[in-house]
Amino acid sequence: MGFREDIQNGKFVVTAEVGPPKGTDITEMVHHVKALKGKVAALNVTDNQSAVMRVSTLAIAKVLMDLDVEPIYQMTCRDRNRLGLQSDLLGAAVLGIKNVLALTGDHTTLGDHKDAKPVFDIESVQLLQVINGLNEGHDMAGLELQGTTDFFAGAIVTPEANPFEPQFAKFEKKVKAGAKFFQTQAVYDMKKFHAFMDRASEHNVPILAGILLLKSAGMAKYLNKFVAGISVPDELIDELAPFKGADALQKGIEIAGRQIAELRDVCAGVHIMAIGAEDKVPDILAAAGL
Amino acid sequence: MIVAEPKSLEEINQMIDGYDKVLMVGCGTCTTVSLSGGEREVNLMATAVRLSRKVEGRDIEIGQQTIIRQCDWEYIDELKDVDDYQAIVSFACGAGIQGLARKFTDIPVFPGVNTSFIGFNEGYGLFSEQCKACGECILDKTGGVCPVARCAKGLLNGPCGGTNNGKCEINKDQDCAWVLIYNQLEGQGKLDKFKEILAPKDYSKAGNIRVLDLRT
Amino acid sequence: MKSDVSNSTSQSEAFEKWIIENPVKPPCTSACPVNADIQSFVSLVAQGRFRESLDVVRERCTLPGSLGRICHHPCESECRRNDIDGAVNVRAIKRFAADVCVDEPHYAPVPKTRGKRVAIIGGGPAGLTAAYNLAKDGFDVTIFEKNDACGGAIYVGVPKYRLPKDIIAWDVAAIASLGVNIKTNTTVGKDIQFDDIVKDYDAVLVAIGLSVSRSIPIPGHDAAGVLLALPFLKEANFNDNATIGKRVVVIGGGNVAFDVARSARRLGAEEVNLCCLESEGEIPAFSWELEEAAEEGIKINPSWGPKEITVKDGKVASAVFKRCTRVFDENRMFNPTYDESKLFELEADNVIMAIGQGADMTGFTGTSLEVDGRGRITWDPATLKTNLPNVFACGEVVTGPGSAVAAMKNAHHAATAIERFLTTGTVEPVVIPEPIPIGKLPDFTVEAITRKEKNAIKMLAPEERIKSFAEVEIGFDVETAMYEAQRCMNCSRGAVMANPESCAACLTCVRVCPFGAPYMAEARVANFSWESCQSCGICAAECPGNAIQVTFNDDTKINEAIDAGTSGITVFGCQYAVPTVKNPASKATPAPPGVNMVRLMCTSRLDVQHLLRAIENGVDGIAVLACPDDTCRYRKDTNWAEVRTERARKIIDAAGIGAERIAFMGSPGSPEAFSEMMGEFKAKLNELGTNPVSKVLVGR
Repeated sequence: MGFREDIQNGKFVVTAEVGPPKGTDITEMVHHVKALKGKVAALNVTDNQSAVMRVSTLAIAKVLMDLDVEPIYQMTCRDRNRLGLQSDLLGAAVLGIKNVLALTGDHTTLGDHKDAKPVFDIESVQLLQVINGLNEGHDMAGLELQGTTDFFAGAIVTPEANPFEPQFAKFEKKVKAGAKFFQTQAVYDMKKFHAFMDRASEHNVPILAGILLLKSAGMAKYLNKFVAGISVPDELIDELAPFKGADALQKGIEIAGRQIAELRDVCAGVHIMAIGAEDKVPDILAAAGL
Repeated sequence: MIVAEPKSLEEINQMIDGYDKVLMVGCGTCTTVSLSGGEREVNLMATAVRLSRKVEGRDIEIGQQTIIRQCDWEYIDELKDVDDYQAIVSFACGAGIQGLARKFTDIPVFPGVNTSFIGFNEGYGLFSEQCKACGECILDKTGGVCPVARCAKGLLNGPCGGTNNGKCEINKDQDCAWVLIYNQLEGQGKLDKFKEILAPKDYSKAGNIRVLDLRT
Repeated sequence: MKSDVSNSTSQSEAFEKWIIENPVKPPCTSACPVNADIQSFVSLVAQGRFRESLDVVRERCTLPGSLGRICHHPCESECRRNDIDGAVNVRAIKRFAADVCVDEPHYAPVPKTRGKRVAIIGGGPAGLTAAYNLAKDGFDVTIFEKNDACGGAIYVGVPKYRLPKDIIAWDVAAIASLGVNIKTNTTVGKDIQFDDIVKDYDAVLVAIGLSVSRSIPIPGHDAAGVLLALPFLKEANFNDNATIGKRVVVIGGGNVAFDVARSARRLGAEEVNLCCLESEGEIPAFSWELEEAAEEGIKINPSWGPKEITVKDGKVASAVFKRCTRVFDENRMFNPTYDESKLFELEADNVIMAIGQGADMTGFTGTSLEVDGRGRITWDPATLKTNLPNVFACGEVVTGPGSAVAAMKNAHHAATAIERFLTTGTVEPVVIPEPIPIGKLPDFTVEAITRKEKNAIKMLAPEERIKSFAEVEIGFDVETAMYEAQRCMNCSRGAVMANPESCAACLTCVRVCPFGAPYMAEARVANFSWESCQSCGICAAECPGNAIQVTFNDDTKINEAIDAGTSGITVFGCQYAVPTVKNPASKATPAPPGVNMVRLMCTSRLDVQHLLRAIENGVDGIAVLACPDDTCRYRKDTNWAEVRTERARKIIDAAGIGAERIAFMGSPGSPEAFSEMMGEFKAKLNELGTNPVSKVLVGR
């Protein structure tokens, strides 16, 4: 059974992610993938994450499939115009990739090729419509395809965005544009997430809560200060503060596990972002009692 | 208005290196207003060039003329004694610079400014980009705030995840256009417009070699 | 207003040109009877250029030392600084300009190039003023003065405590130095005959003033102890042994009556009562005369008209007054009414009548000069001419009583009439253009102007004053005078749209002006409200089209000053940035050797183009001086000079000249500090060597 079926069957699903490396040596990444094999329903493959140039998502998604791990193909609109996006989607379908996560993508000026021309020919909402069009058998120009796709298209949402209302309105647009599942930006404040779910649930679309592994109190503070849409409550920072190094990581694993356990009855699943500590995902799941 | 910024002395000196009779032409419209290519800036650049040449022990004769606009043949015709010069530096926007280049085909024409954007004059010396000349205005749908020009990514359907406290992810001093749009539409009771999914833009209308013919 | 003696422009032509070229004048100049160029002389004092200031004062206020003391200064009443923090003390500044130059040489005689002789009968303010103008115009002028010295009413009548005699003498000497012949102790009709003068001179001006005090024919008016104002004042002025009774009653409410009362007090009168017809609010004397008299213990009794003077043993015993119920009738004619039932008696040793003066026409009776039934000269106020073809008249003898400065105004006109008559042979009405006073400061401009408190002139304490005839006012010292002069806002010298075709309607001027002066005119060209404009020049130095000029500080004048420097250091600073000079009367602040000064109204006028121009001229370095103090009216929200200096530094650095050749410096504070500052900068520049731009020029 795959990711799509698990969700549709109402199973509490867990996803995680791997970042393609900068360069052709994929050994370490493969090591991480193997550690997660069988523990998660699918693995997101990021797309030049943070606008930093890396191995193509499509290639790594294929590597995952070869390792018998189901990929969620992340696709941003930053680096390709509508021709490039559609042709890559068709390519992905040919390779047997089933899941696509449609993203707008971080701006080029935040990455390592700041002088690149940012494309943004279309954006996430429109990309979802494009994917659905391909599924229906036509491209953006309305031309018929010889052989269609059958993508399970997802999108992201930031439950703690500030301001929230425009973000939520965009979430609704994404639903309308054909998003079949959502992964969220990291959530820490469970109360706020409950409130978000109360409003989101009326759209009846599965939501995987984002769990970002906290490795230290310092990291939590950094997230609060520099990362849009993430807010780590003071209680969690206080809880982490006494611990250093491996102990702090252990505490972070404990917190993540506790949060996942809390979310089991709230949403459709979780998406774990371990950022370089993918091998700890099994520990997190163990802490969550999964 | 077209907003431009003056080029550096170094850049101008490189362009006119081989010439010792140069005409600097100011533009009395947009670049004057954007404080980059009017009579004052032309005079400052001309003086700076003369000074740097004197330091090098080389002579240069610089003519200075400012005309009303460099994007109209009739005003370009007001320039005097252009044949006396070996090169022209134009302080107009790209349209004006090319106007001179089209008129004076035997004389090299160099840009004196970098044309920046179509902007709004926020106050003394402060200009903000407002329009991308996309050829397909959607301001009716976005509460009078243009996301094509004012959202870093030109998004058409709402803010990206980078919105932070209403500011843009690439510049925390800049408002997120989509937050502005939301607030504007909310204030007008027109949030239904926000919910409408806007289709991808027709970039054939924003392409190159555009000509607008209003004669028929 | 500065007229050039050496060229053919006459005094009156220069004055008219000054008004016509720029008819909008500050309210001080407009209110001044002689339209003195007040802001120019005030500004020169503010800069420490005292002698130059004095010369400007004298052009219209021909007796600077005297007017600096006795002028009733309508200029101050109209000063726009009244709406902010009090008028500029113009009179005290004028007095300072005279006092500080008291040991300076006067003038060289003006060559008598016109070949015509003018006789002036009467050496009072009017006669002297006419003599000043006509002598400067190259005429051979002779004054016939019946007293032992010139000055007329202000010499004989004005008490020493207000105007010391040596000050008048100094003012007269300045006029004499232009080559005016002054024949004192020469009474027309006795020592010389009027008709002979008319024959001997090409033109004659009668300016004999009103030198006879009038009396009132009430019972007892001729008793011993009843005195008339002018003989009494003359006695008080010139007889060191003069005395007066213990109880003195002065009849009259004009300025002369107060001079009499205050002089009597100084001569030892213990009880001085002043009685006048006018009610309290109608008393014609200046308000400060009332205040100072009261301080000196003089009792002022308004609304009492003289009824009789009682006599005992052939001497005055008392003065009896009746209640005056009205002075002027419905037609505003002098027509007093009385309530005879209300009487008021004051015992007195002396009663002094100070109710007005008349002309002494004795020297003219039986001459060819026509006099009307009431003994007044037949006179046309438009042409200032009498019945005789070459005889003119001016001053109080024809206009009636008034202020000294009003008589001087009439004398300026008379000099104009005579100059034209002697030049063209014709007599035409003298029409002098009137300046248009600039309007009130708008409220928002008032708000935007930095406050700078007024300096009042100091006076001796009342108990000191009454002991002697010592001068009651204490003039400004150098620092106070310069501070006070720096309060002048230089009204109406503001921004103008010099090149409308270069105006891009960009609104830069509108945005940078702190005073709200620029606005977009209907033709979509910027224009400037001079009511608001403070002439700082921020707009002119920012205008991207170089379309704006500031009248006081236009680029032509600034560039001339810049071009005077071709090596060494050029200094840019506001007009007050250069500190007080050591020699107070020197013509201009001496700059240290090798330093060229460029004075701006305000450092905000400094333009990057000015700095580059100086560098291109070959100067080795430029010092931009910061604002000297924070009491200047200009706002300090943005330090424009510093920002622009920085831009110029970057430009010359990119050109390979080195940013360090342009320095933004603090305000020096003293001439010594300034010299030291320049010395240090010069040493630094010496290390850098000659400006590479000038080296190339020399090599070629």
